[in-house]
Amino acid sequence: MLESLMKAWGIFFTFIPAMDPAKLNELTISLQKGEKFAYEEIYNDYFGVIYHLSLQYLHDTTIAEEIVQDSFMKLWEIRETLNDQFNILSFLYTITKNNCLNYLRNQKIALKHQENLRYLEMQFNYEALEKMGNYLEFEVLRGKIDQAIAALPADLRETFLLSRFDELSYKGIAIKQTISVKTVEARISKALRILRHELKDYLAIIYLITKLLS
Amino acid sequence: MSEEIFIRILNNSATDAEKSSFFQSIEEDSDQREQYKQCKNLYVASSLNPELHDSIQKESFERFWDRVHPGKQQKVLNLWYRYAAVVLVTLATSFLVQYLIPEKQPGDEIVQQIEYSSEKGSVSKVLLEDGSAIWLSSATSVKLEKRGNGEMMARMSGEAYFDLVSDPGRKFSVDMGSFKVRDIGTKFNIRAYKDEPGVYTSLVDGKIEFLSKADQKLLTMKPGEYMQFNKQSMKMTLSEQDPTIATAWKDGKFVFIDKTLSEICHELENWYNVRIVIENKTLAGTKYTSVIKRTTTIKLVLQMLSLTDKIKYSITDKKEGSDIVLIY
Repeated sequence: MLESLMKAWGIFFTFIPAMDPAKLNELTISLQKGEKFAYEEIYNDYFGVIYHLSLQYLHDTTIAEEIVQDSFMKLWEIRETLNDQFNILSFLYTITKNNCLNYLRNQKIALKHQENLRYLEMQFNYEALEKMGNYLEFEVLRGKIDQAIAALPADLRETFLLSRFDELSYKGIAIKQTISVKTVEARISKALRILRHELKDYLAIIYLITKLLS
Repeated sequence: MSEEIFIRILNNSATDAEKSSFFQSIEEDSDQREQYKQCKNLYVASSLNPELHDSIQKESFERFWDRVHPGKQQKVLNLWYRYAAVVLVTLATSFLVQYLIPEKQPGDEIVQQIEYSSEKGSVSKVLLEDGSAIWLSSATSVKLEKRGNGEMMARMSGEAYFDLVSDPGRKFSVDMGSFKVRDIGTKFNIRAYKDEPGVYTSLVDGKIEFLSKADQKLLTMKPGEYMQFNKQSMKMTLSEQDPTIATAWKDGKFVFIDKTLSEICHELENWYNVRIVIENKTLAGTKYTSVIKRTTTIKLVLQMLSLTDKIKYSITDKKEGSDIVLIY
């Protein structure tokens, strides 16, 4: 059950790759100067992440987009104070999260006596988002995940990465690696078992899912 | 409840009926509520993917740029217009002048042009004929133009200290590109490194005026004042600062007052011709106050830093290019 949930969610593997520090440094200077290409690049790299964040809690594409755009406006406003120690994604994430919370707070007050269903959903999303960690925590987690994957035995890792990153079916992997589908299944479930064990301190809450469903 | 419905709730593809029964069922149960919130967050955190929503992203960027650009464009345009007007007027006049009065305006031509420069890690002093002096800090160049009418114009990059003899018959100004500094018998310091965001002027003695490109008076500075010009916003900010801080380099000293380690390292890099890499991000923002002799070796400076705090360092000698100092 846990395996299938993790698979369905694509848990672990969608963390944003860290940007090359040298590139980030150059980009920071261009951002300070207000150069268009730099903002376009930051938009390319980070829009998806923070838009997804706000959409998941607000369930409204127009408002989610507006909130994210406001976050980029904030970045524009403070561009002169940027330096190479500044974590842009973390900044955008925090501003977006706060603006989503503000929006949900106002909305749920307005909806309290009207639409019970949407009110409850907003209330729960509000409470959940309040508890959502900051972006730096994800970065730490990502580091741990990368480490745990790197530490897998070579054959397991190879099969595992094919299924996670290249999104091949078990059959596709079997053909590619010239092994049987059964072996693919066995390797992936073994890899997940190891990862789960390695990451248990960080993903303790994953165990709650099974409880909730039972 | 089935696994499928739960996933649909999390990724927001559940029907209203499914949502309604789910949310009502967990409303009363605080344990289940907590678990739902954690799962929701885990789901979102694990699905933060930069490649989602590509199509919306492009449109969103265009609108973002339209939003931030009017303000900026206006600023740029304003300036541009102003400068354009000046250029047009000068072009027009010089054209007319050349056309109508073929003789050259006496004194406008450059009669002498000299360039002085200093290397990294050195301070040099230039003595001018009239007894005035110019100090050049590390990696600095100053170009002097003398015109037939006795006017002197300096262009510079880096940091220089001007100690000018008062002479009513001679006009001296420093052309900083966006503005000019006109001296009226003074001692002043200008810091204008190309890789820094601003131009910083300190007045020790006398009086200086800031002029626009079109020679309009922008402001007058008094001794003890400190002017910061932001190259990007084109804004000038006047404040007070003991001028001995800005000119300490001339007397062979680094003076750091509440400077972050990364600012300090930038200075050290310039002076010692090394590249310094600060590995520990929290260290980079730590502030220090200290006075260091510029004749001190970099090793001693680093040793001092490692005494005062949890700083460790290593130096890699490079045969070609600058040595690399790693701070961690």
